[in-house]
Amino acid sequence: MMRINRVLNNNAVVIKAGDTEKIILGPGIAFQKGKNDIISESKVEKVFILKEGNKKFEELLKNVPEAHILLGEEIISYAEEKLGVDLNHHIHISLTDHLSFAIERTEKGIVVKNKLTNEIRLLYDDEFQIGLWAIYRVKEKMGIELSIDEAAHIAVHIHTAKMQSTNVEETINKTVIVLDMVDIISSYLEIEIDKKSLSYQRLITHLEFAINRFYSDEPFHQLDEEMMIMIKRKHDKAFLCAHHAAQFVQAEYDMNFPDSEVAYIALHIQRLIEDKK
Amino acid sequence: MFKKLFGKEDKNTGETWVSPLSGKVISIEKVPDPMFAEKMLGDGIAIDPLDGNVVSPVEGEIIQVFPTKHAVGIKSKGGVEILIHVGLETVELKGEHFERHVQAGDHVQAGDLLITFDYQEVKKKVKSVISPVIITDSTHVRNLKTEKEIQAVSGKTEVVSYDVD
Repeated sequence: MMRINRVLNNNAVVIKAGDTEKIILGPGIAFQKGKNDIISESKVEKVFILKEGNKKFEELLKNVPEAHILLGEEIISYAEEKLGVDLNHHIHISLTDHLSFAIERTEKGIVVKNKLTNEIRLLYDDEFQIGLWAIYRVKEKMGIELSIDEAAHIAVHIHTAKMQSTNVEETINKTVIVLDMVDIISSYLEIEIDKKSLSYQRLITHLEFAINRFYSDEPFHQLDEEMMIMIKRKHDKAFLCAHHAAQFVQAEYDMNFPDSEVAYIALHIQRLIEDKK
Repeated sequence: MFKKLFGKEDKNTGETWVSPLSGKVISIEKVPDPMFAEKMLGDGIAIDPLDGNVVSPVEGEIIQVFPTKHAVGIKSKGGVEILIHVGLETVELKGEHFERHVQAGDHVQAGDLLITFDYQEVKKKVKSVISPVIITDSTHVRNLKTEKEIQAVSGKTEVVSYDVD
């Protein structure tokens, strides 16, 4: 049995279960209800355990218009279903907060440009499609038309949560580095890379994980010395290209990839080369 | 036209591998190392071995034996490059418990002994003894067929076949 400890808004309440506090979300769950009233379990859509970080969520639920919260939750559910993954819980704060700001800004006629919109669309196509869907839902529900740049912002939030990260800034930084590397690789090979190809998708995923490993000090791929020599010998062009890209990120971003990582990137580059044959 | 057609058919030769190790043949995608599982180095099979005898899967020439003796490259008679990598992260053993029986340039028949290793010791010391056997240059390989989930006997059980053009 769930008894209301405090009402956050019509669709969100806090309950206590022993020592832990939980936020319960559900449409109309607290409608005409107050402290100590019992909520109908059939209306419960989501349950969050209130930890330190979730205090922020509670604040958000109290201060952000309900319509924005519901939209945020709807977008998150849609994204989880479409991507088939559980997103990092922080997205319930970051996306909803962002969305609410974006709606308010747009209502006031303020447009914030996103310089990376095209790149985000290319790098995170699935997330971008969800962003577009979100814009459509906002228009349908609120009559407000968000710009296409907002779809890209939403995509970055979703991508960040998909990578189980909470740092949207870092995602944007990584995006820039990955794009720089792709540019270097493409011009070195003198080929037009098919951005829809599986080989390309796998390359950028790998690059992103490699950058993650650098940031988080996680160990890189281990590789036999001999295997590396073999890769070098068999795929010399791809290897030189990967080496070239690695030198660039070292010079530009002071980011050092070990040889084994370079060899792994070379294998991905080799696939791009083979695609072109 | 017929000449061309027949000519092409003449050139097409099939090649079959016998299992280089005795043990269970598993799909390369199931190897617990992304480099192999994602086929980054090439397609093939993996074997979860029961002993430490590694034999040649084909007739061909030894291209290289890794200095740490845990891997060997063979160029088959049909010109296909094959890599047998014994275990995962076995490089860390630095050749200990491994013995080589061939060197680069040697001509081998299918079933010839290439490497032996102390199965019990190696199994104890490395992440996994699962051994990928892959085609590292698939340019001329067509219709690759691989066995999986069967028990293979080294030098006997046929585990891979393909056409070479």
